Amino acid sequence: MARNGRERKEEAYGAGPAGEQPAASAHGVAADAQGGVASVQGCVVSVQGGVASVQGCVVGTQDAEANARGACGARGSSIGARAVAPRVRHPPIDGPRWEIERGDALYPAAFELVSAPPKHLYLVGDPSALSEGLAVVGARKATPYGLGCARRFARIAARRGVVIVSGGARGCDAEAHRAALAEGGRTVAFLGGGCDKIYPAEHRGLFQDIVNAGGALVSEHPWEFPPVPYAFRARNRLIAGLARATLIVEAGLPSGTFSTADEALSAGREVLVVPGAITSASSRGANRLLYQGAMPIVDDESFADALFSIFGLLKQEGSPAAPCASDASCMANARGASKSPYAPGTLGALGTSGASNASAPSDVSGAPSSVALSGVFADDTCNEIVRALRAEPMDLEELYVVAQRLRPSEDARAWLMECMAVSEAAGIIARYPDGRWGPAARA
Amino acid sequence: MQAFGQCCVQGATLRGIEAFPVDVEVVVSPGMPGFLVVGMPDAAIQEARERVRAALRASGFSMPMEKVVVNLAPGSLRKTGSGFDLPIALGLLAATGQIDRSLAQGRLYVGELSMEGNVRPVSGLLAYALAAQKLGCDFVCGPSNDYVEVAGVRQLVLGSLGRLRSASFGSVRARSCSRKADPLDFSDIAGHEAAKRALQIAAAGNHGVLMTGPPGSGKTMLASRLPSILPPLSEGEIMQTALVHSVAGEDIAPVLAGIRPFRSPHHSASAAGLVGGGSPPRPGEISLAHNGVLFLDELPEFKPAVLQGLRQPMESGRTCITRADGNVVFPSRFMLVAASNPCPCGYLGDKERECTCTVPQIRSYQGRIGGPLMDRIDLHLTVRRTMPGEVMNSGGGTASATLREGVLLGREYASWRRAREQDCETDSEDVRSPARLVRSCALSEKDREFLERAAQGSHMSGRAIMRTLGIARTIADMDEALVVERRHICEALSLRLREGG
Repeated sequence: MARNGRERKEEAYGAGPAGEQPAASAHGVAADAQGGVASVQGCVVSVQGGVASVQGCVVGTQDAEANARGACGARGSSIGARAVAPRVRHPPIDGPRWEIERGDALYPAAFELVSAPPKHLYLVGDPSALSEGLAVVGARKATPYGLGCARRFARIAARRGVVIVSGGARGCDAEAHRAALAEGGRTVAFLGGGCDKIYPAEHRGLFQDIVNAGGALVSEHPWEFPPVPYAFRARNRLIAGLARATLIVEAGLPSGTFSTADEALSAGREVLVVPGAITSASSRGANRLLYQGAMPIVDDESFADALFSIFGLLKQEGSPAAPCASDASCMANARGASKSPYAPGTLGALGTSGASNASAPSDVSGAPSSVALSGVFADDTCNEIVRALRAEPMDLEELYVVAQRLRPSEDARAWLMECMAVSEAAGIIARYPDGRWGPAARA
Repeated sequence: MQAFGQCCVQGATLRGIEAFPVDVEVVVSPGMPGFLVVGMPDAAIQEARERVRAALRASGFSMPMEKVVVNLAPGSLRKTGSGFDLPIALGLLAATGQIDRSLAQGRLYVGELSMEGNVRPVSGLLAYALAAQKLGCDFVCGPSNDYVEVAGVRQLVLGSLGRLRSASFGSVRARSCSRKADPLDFSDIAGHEAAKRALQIAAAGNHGVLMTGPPGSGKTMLASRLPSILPPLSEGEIMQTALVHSVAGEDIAPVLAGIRPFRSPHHSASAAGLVGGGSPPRPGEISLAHNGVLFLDELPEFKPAVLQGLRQPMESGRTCITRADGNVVFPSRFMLVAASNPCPCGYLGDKERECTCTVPQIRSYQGRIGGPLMDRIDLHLTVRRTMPGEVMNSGGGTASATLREGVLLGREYASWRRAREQDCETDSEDVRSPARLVRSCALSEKDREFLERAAQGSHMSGRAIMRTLGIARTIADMDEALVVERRHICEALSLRLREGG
């Protein structure tokens, strides 16, 4: 008898927790481990080897049809999470599916502090990834600067075992997810619609990689829920709520990212913000948050300090067996999701990855801007143009005027063109989607 | 007036941009009174019967009461146009002895008759004159303003049928067209130096240009001033271009003055209007832009099917219109200039106004400019709105004369260089074979590496690299440099298309 009186017939799909691993033992009433799939009729089941623990009715999956059996708890009791099989034969994202109820052990405690905590969570992937990590959010219409910052800081955090939480949206969110995957870390994406309605559609591959790497896709709406605009606003509170701190890399004003920061503050979370040029509209929200008291992140060192103060002692870089912030992240590292298609240097799909080809120095020390242009153009003549662009992104017309001013006697245009070509090749500046030239943060 | 007789007069019919000679045989014979035209005439020629009848009477001649049969030979060629009025009337008059027979010999007659007996000009006079040149005879038509001097042809004007009595033909005053100062000059535009430079490069190398910018940023203004910096038409080009314009019924005076045509079709144009077509086939906008500029404003608003139809003509430089009775070929080698907004609301990248479009909207809008057109566009130019203070400064910007110097310099240098490289094409060819282009650039080892590195960093395709080289070669030509240097490459890189193109 299934919960809530609904009979559910489910197809065997290799669902159930980590179906390929044998269920070792079942505490509780009756448990059978048959060839790797646990069929339990009872209350509490513990399956080792895959997921840490499951409380509640685990649906037994045998070959053809399976019924949910057993004393499933009524709502409000200790049992609330269940592994489910997908509704359709070929779901958009492959992976173990979970429906977690509020009050269940798998339900993150952090959500109790957000406004209107979700009653149900629908998850694809590993529920233990829902540990308190770092949220990295930013604008959708991101500039290369914002994308570079998202990539950079997500990578640093992931390297230290921090779970990256974001929204799976275009722009900074996707960059943060990809950077985390490139480091072999776990990342969680909160979707606006249901997990079976992938939006944006082009992120299907990314989401699948997130699940494969041990992360999770989460939604507070049922599987087939359409991605409606109000749901996206609402899920921002979950992103901010799950993470211990939220890092804003780029935000306009007004923007969805700005509201995520508000949610974080009202949930009592730390807000870290990367500043931008005050003349840049794409950083107006971020700068205003700094004015309102958010913690500024101005280089790798300040970021490392912030991570330390928020997460405590994290694993050091390069040593995989150091003590972890939580059990979950230890498991992630032990699982060794090492071969990731997003290894640095092969970020071929991303347009502004020219910088990753250049030799990147150690991320821990050194400010982003002091890297030498290895062998390309060693002298300082380009810096004037680069500095002007850092102050304010400009288009070609304005650059002409600036160049004329800086080089009144000689051929200003030729000099300008050379500066731009060299700087672009070195990844210091990039063309923005709207046609202007501006700084690009190196990843 | 004699009762019976026959006469043959030389006429011609237009097909495409060529005039085919047609023998107009008029036979007056006993039988039921009637006026018949045979030889596959179209509706306009059938109506000629009424016009001829009225014109004859109005001029004081008399219409024979016998059976009149007019044969337009060759019989299987479809004849079109209203230019057969005059030869038919002439043949009739000669056959009935009302005028001197010798008038009908040695001349090509083309003209429409008014009901009062005056002769009207028809479009395509230049094509007919060229046909007369091929036949080696004189050419007679109605009074018009669009005469072109054609070697070896004596062109005569016939004012009205009445003049045939005295055989008084006027002679043609060929228009002497001097190039007046263009009313449109780049100095009208304040600022926009980068845009002017980019257009100068495009003009020098005949590259396609795409201008992106918010509404009111001056894209149309910039494009319409482009002809003022283009070099004048050469002799051969004048003839070709005037021919197409004459056939289409357009004013050929600017063409004769050497001003390159500038066509700017509205985005609601149909495929037939843009490419050419109709029955009988008429040249489209792209043929009228031959040797000139085709400006497609609001490019994403053009119907995709219409733009697809441009692919083949742009590849080959010719438009081939196929009909049941054969093919008609129009020339269509032009310089493409396109303008577009960056996004549906138009304000992406604008400093003052916020863009209200979502990313999918922007992408789908920009994706509408795809396929054949992007292949032909080499330069991408962003145009910004001018500040109010600058607008009042108009009249002080770089003038067309300055820019034109650079363009002419570039073109001359390029043709000298090509001749030196033993190229056979002397007119500016915009399809360059990649190997030849790379050879003519003669990059040094370091510069080649530089370009490759830049290309790798920006994920440029092979085609994009070739385009950049082509632009760099043009910039070097304007600089009178035999070898393409790094600064030329850098400038070319800044003008390349976005999105890895």
